[in-house]
Amino acid sequence: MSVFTDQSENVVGIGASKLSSESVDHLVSRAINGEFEAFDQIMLLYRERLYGVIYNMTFNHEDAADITQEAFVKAFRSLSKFKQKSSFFTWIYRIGVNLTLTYLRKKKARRFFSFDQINDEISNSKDLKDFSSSENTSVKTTLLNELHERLNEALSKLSDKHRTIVVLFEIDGLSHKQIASIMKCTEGTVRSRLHYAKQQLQSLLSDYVR
Amino acid sequence: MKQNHDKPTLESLFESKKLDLPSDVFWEELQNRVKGRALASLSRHSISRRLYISSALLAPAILFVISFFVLNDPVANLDSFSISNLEKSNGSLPKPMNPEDVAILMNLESSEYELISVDSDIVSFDSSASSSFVKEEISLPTHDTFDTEFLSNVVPNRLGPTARFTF
Repeated sequence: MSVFTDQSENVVGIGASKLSSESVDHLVSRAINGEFEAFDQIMLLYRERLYGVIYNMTFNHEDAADITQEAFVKAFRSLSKFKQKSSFFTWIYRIGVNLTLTYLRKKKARRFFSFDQINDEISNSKDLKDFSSSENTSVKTTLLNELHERLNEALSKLSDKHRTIVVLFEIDGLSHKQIASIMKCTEGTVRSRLHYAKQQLQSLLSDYVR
Repeated sequence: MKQNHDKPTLESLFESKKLDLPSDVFWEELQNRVKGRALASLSRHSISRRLYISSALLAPAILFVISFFVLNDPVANLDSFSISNLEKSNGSLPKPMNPEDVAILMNLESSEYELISVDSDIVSFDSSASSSFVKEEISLPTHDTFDTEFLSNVVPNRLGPTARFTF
């Protein structure tokens, strides 16, 4: 699968579903006018990236799937409120990120968000093994999975905002400007938070990364 | 302790995380779930919108009907309904006989008169008539007899006296 790597807003999507921003605007206009097929196409464009961001913020596939669903449903309900001044990409990401941050806050408030629980979830996650490529029996993949687990642990030690910025920049490949727009903060804040977060991660993963 | 050159960089670890994605079956299921929920919300929205529009349209009509019944309720307006008002609205209703007329009739000896007809039920009264007693004298061929008609204080609507007396 060819994964989206372009950091600009001009091209969105994964693999064969890459579309120009004009095409996305057209799809959004059609969706606003009530064409559900157009919204279906929009979901195809963003679902994997949005899910990836949410998963790397929650470390739980079930929760990530639920929040991704919620984000798309909320976006669909709020289509009429979408002002086409900003990009649809930023708008739908903001919905997803805000829903995830709300979810994490609630989870913390309920005191269910313990580090041990996350470790258990990560270690016992059958999905995590299934989600690996077809070569998941190889030693290399096993090692990679272990590294991913350690990375998830380290990410979970960051604050929600720092983790969100790291995920959006390092894993999802968004620019500082795009992250600033999604998080509603300045680019400077994004840069400083990113720098701090990476320092933290480097320190936490010193045994596994150079 | 692993050697540093064996360890990946943090950036390459992040890069590999991009591949940590679910299978196609998962995406298909997710897409279908979102579709179902979105369409269900659309349906709910449509129903609630219809109810809102219906209630918005019906509310003035219902208020009008309620206000109509409240303002025109015959029971509520019973106090204002009376016989006197009915009489005012209907001039053809008979008025009670003048007590003075009744007293004169009662003082007459039975031999002094001959009742020809008393048919007050079919006598109609003119509300514009004078309230004074009307006595009419008629000249007869013999001097000792005469007919007297006692009339009401209103003009009857048909020919014929209320009573004829022969003396």
